[in-house]
Amino acid sequence: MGATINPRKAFPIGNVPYPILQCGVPVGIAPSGTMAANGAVTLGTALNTTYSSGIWLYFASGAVYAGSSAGFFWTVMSSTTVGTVYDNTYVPGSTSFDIPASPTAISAAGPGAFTGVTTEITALSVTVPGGALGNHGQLHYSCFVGGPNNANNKADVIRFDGTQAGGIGTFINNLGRIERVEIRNMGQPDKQHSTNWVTAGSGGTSGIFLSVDTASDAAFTQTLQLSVATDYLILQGAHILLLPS
Amino acid sequence: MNVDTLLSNVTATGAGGELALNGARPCVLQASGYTTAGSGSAQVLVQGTNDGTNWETIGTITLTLDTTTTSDSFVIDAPWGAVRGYVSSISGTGATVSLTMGH
Repeated sequence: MGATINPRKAFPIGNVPYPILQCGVPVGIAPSGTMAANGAVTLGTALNTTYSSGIWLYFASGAVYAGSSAGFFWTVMSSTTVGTVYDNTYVPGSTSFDIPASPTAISAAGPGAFTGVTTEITALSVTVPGGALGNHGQLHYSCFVGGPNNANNKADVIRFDGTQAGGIGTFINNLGRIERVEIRNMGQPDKQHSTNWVTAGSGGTSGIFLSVDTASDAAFTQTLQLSVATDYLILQGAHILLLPS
Repeated sequence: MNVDTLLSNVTATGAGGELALNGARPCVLQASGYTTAGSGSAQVLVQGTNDGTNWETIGTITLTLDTTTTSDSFVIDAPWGAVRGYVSSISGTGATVSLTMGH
């Protein structure tokens, strides 16, 4: 569920800061594990907490039940490793990440052992309306990504219209990262500077320069990726504030 | 307060009829929907025009559908000549969506 507006078209005073995305529901890639009948999952690696209120977990095709598509499935955990997967899916940019009001139970044999996905997965996607920023407009993005503290490489990447604007491809030896990305149009709608921050302090030298045509709709995405299937990576929450000009 | 219907129990993608605002503002656009079985989803664009030909998207409402009606809304306060609802996607068994405007 969600409602997004283009403030330049919805309000007489265009420069009203407006959140275009607010997600507090955790979204993550599941580690390798075992799927028993009716969505009973046992993860091979303990998650960072017991998601008893639920979490969207990404499973490979055929991992949830025979013929299930690869994607995010609503999962309610009873411990850091045991939970129930439901037949409710979340497709970033297409369907809502809201907690399902009435989760659909799975009634199917369990496929057994499954392997965690190590390809890059889009966890969040929102369209920045064309013309919403103006020549000096800004996007302020903030999120927290959590994972196991080990030396296995993980990646969380923020992209604007397909070009990396923040995040990191080498998230290791940390339980979590705070991403703070500020993208500003440089006095014109098709040139931007992105300030990519790592926790406290600057994570880059001169930032990232982009050439996104913000006069047209542009996708803003957050992706996650594992290099080792027994790991996990979870986007704990995120928001994007649009500051028009 | 008045409530006008822009989309009434729509089950397929496409545009609804236009509604002249005649200076009505602010307006609350509310989309609601349901399925007859299982889960589904729908995305409704609220579009505005001043010339009756070129439609621009003012806002988007994305609904997760269920057998219990769900809804979401937003407010606009701009003097568009006319608005309409446009269902850009809808899925689910018996999925149905409506759009109303309060002003």
